[in-house]
Amino acid sequence: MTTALMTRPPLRMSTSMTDGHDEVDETTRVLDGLPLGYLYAEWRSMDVPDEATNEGHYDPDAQTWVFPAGVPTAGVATWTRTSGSKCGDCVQDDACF
Amino acid sequence: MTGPRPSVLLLTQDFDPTVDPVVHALRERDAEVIRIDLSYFPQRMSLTATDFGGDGGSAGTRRILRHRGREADLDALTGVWYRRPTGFAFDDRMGEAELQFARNEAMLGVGGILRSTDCLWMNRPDLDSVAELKPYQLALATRLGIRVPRTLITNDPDEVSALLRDSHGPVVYKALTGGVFHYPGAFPSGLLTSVVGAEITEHLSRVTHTMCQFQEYVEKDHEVRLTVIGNTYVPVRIRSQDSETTSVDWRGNTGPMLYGDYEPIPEDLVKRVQLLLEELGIVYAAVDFIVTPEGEYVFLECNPNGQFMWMQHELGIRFDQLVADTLTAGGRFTRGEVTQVGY
Repeated sequence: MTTALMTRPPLRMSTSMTDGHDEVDETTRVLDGLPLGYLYAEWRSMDVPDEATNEGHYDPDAQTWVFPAGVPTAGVATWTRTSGSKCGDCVQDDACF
Repeated sequence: MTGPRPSVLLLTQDFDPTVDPVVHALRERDAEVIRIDLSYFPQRMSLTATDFGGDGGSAGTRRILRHRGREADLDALTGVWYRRPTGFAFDDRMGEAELQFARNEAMLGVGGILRSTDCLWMNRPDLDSVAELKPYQLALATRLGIRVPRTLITNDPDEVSALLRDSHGPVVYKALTGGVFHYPGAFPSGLLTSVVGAEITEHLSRVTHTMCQFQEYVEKDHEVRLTVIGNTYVPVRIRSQDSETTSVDWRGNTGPMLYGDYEPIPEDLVKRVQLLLEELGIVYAAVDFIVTPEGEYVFLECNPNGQFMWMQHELGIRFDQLVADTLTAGGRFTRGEVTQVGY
């Protein structure tokens, strides 16, 4: 399927915000081989409150995510873990794209 | 007088805090809500389209989605919100070759059945795939008379070198996508628009690795995030110049976002944005503008799947209601008279 990007895909698949993320192996980086964008990329660890990191579960009857009490359910205060259990990288759920 | 109960299909992953408030708003309207992720297919969800059993023509056609004991008639939908579904999840006994076949069949089959629904789509993913082409957006905006930053998109280091040599003002590097990947399958992140400095001189060769976008740095008074939901426009002023972390790219915000008072965008700009979105064929968009100290609006980009629920959280704008109203209106969407909503 080499032409996938050249056609209009009938469906668009997104990355899961909660699953399938493995830790990065920083030791394999060869700086000169990376696209220029990586020069300006910040790979920063953020202090994310423990209670705001993907806690809760999906309720298939209500069809909404159930957060523990006190965790914001919308907006910039919702954090999405993106890189496994030990890495601190998080993005705001409301990152633009 | 009451019409038929609205029926809305939400395509997204289980964890999507932007969708949850809309689910509640739809329920308040007594709408039937069918929220599914594409990962439910084929093992937890079935999809059927057939015209067997009828006497030909559309009257005998059935398009049915079944999930968790429920059955949804896709031809009764009033609206589809295509958010962020993840990929199909097939039987893990398949090898890569079989998976490729199964994916292709599913892409055309599921995509084709869903596409056959004759209702409002916010947004159709096939149209999104073109609408998110940033160079195309810039070309369209220019054609429609909206100012855009002067832009260089290239993988030629000599072009970049010449731009930096000849430019009379600062230049920014701005990715065409949402961020870099730090490992396969990662969520794109961590790449904000950046002012290019002397550091680039020893890294120019890296321009050859892929497309790179550079733009003139446009002086700002403030910025506007315009959220368009159907014919409703919600322009939010962001005081990006009041903080160092947001002055170049407000997504770099690390504290509470600083907002300006509500001010509708000029009617002339509304008309041009309507033409832009009509050309792109999309119902929803998050459109970003710089407003210069002279008050001129400069188009930065249009995000066909951009986020908005953070502004409901911080400013009390009822985006959940606006989205629910759009998805339950029924019929196809037509661009028309615009209503601007404040906060």
